[in-house]
Amino acid sequence: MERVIGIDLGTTNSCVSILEGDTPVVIPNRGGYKTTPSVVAVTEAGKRLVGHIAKRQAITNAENTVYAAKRLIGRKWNSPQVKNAIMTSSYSIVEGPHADVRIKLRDKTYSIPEVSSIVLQEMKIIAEDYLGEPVKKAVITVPAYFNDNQRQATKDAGAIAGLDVIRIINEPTSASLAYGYGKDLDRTVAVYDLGGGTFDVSILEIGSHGVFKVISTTGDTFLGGEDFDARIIDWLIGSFQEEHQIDLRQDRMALQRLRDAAEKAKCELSSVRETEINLPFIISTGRNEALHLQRTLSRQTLEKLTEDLVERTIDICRQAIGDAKLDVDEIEDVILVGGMTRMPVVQQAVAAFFSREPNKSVHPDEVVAMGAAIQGAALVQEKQDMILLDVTPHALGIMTFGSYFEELIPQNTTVPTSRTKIFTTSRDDQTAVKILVMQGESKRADDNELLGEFILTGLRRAPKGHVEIEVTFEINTDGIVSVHAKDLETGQAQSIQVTATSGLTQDEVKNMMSSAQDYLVERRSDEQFEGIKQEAETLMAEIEHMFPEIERVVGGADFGRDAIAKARSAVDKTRVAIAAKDSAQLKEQVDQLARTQRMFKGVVSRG
Amino acid sequence: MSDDSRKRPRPSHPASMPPEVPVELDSSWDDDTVPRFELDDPMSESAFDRVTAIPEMPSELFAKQVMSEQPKSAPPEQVPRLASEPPVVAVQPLDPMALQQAPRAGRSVSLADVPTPPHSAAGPNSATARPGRNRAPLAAESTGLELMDMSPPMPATTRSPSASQFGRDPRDPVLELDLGEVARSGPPPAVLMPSAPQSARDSEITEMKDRYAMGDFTGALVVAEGLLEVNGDDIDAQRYAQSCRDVLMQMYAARLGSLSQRVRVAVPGDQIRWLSLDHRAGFVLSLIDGSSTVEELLDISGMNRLDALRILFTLYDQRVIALSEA
Repeated sequence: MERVIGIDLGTTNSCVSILEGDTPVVIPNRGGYKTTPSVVAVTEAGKRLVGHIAKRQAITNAENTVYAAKRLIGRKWNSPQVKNAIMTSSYSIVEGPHADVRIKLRDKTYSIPEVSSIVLQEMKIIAEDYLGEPVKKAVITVPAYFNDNQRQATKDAGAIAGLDVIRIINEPTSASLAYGYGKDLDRTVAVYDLGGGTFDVSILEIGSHGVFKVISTTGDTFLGGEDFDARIIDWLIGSFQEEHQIDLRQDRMALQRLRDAAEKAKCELSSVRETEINLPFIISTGRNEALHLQRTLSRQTLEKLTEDLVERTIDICRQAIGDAKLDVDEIEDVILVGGMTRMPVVQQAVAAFFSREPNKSVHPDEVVAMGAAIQGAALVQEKQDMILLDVTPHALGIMTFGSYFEELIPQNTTVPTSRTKIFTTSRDDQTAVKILVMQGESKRADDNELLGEFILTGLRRAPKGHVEIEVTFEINTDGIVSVHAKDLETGQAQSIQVTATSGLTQDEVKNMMSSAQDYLVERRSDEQFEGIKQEAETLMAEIEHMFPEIERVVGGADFGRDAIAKARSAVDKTRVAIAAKDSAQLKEQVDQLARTQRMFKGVVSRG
Repeated sequence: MSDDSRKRPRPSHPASMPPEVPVELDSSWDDDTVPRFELDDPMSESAFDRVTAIPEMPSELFAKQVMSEQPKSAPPEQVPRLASEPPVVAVQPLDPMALQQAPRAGRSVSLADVPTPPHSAAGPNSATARPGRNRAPLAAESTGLELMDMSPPMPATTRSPSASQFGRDPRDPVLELDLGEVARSGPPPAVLMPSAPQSARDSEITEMKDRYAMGDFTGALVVAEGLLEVNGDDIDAQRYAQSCRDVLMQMYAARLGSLSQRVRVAVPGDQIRWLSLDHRAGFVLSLIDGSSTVEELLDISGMNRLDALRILFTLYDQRVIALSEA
């Protein structure tokens, strides 16, 4: 049966998992880490970097390093989130041809799905290396608050990466799925997800037979582990400035080191009470003297520095409980997600707010990807009791007079579905109405996402409220929304089909898919060449090491001279093949070198 | 020297820096062969405590060798160029593999492996600026050693009074030419002395060329960059700067060996602060996690490749870091 990977495409880190037997397994990357930073960079030489390596140069190459692309995916150029990102990001955000968002790295402009696809492609490669076979299908998780455009953009990112995204599921749902896997649960849970860059809290009802209903979800897309790191960095910079009157913020290299050290210290303080931050040669003074930074950070100090951040997460929890119209004591379990929840003070705050110890049976970094892998396996194995119902992530409706939002299809409605409502004209002699199709939960239309609009004309002239217009919303099994408006008296009708868009055209997606595939082929070829090259270098070193001994043993004989000359020729040809990056020739020479090495070893052992 | 040029910091060449020209000569050389430089002993003491490319050999022998280099194979149409002139066409970035093998190969490595543009043939190997002393293009030679071209010896007569500023230890043996031998074997070398008062730029250009000719590529690069700061469109400075960068990168890469080697810190953590490093070297050191390769460190350093290579080499030279096959 075809394997399906589950990918948690996070704002700061991503994780890939697969179901092996009945157990979800998280796949480590080449460095042995189970999560990979969702960071993409392009070096001065034009080389593409992804993951840890990209993160390690994020400050020194800030203009060409993209992080938190997820905050921009599926957003429109004029959205407030994009404006905010333009103000706060170190990389260049530009307007795309379809009022979408693009990122400029060096001399190339990338769409957001393209950037995300680079991370997804990396996760695909990690899985393929682990499984030893190609992977095509994936389930990808997204925040519960993502709208249709954001989900479609995530799907496009998967397609560009060469993945068939068979389902997009909500992160808290995925976490709950992994938490409830193998148990027959029926309870209300809170998912407290404090990641690297974002914070979300969701209240879900887990019912038997695969019903996972998100009752409420809220969060802050600019609150996460990086804010905690920033507090440590500020503390370090402040104390260094006090001592040496030097602002380390002015030096990118110093700042990169501070960031890495702050993150490390924060992680260490989850298990120890104090840690030493030691950064020798952090900066040079005008007198050409290098200064060192050495500080001891205690857990207590860290907690004091970040007290307000933890408190903010609790305020958001309070809001989520209110939105769900529940009391705190109705929450039967709290699932912790995200690396930051390892911090003891976070766990204490959560326990204090929910009046119960949070559940620690699931791994906070891995649980979301595991849930996606479980769902992926259930989809291909058609395990009906495990398959999540496809629901509308947000309410759908239209804008009415006074800029209000009238909901037709509520949030979490199972699809396919259809709902109808009657509206009337809002002024006398109105002959046309504009139907604005929107998505969201706010009563104010402006706060919701506009999906499309159309005009119904030819209405009978009449006093306001006398003409009745029937509006019908339909969502088919593919998630395509159709909206019909009909003048009940004249039968005049108009309709629109709303298809979620990522901001990319089909052709653009196809071209990007092709480019991504080319890149993959090139990368595989480079890796293959590198492998043969290393083999060749090892053989050459061994052979050259044996030359003096061989010359001593057989150098005098004609046969010996010939053998040595041939060996030298093979070594030279190998070097030429390496310089020319000629894989085929190099492979041939490696075989020749291997034969020479065997022969030489035999001669040396007999000599 | 003009005031302007005095304001600019002179290129220094700390003792920890590698020589820009490998100095050990192939023992098989004789009057008719081009000296070959060994790259297989990067840690050699003698290789590192000098600052310019003065080959280690008896001065009379060296002079003899220099003077015996007649343009036997130079085609008549070969336009003579100044000894110190860099390639007109920028040196093609070398695949360091061509040189990386050298240390392990245990043989002298010919920079003929390095693609060299045709006009570089009359490079600094020529001891003088005399057209007649230019060597034939490398392409015409089977295994001409281009490192030699990059780091020619400077005849005593061309050493400027500011040589001490080039960072040379005054205790270094001074190369003395056997002028009698010179006289017997041909016309004396031309002396690069300005015949008229020079402008600040001219003086800088001359110094840049001199340094290039002497194999002080770092120094030449500093001067070239200084000129470019004043005028970014200075074609001469651009050419020299690029050429210096290419040569230096090739040399550092060759000394480090395969760029796919893993790098680890070879000094205990508690002793690192006692090293003599600047913050840039400290930064590069902080990037070393034991699993990254040289190539990866170059990628993530955020510095230009030449600076990063230079720092890595210095750390390697000082045994602060160690390399091992991945």
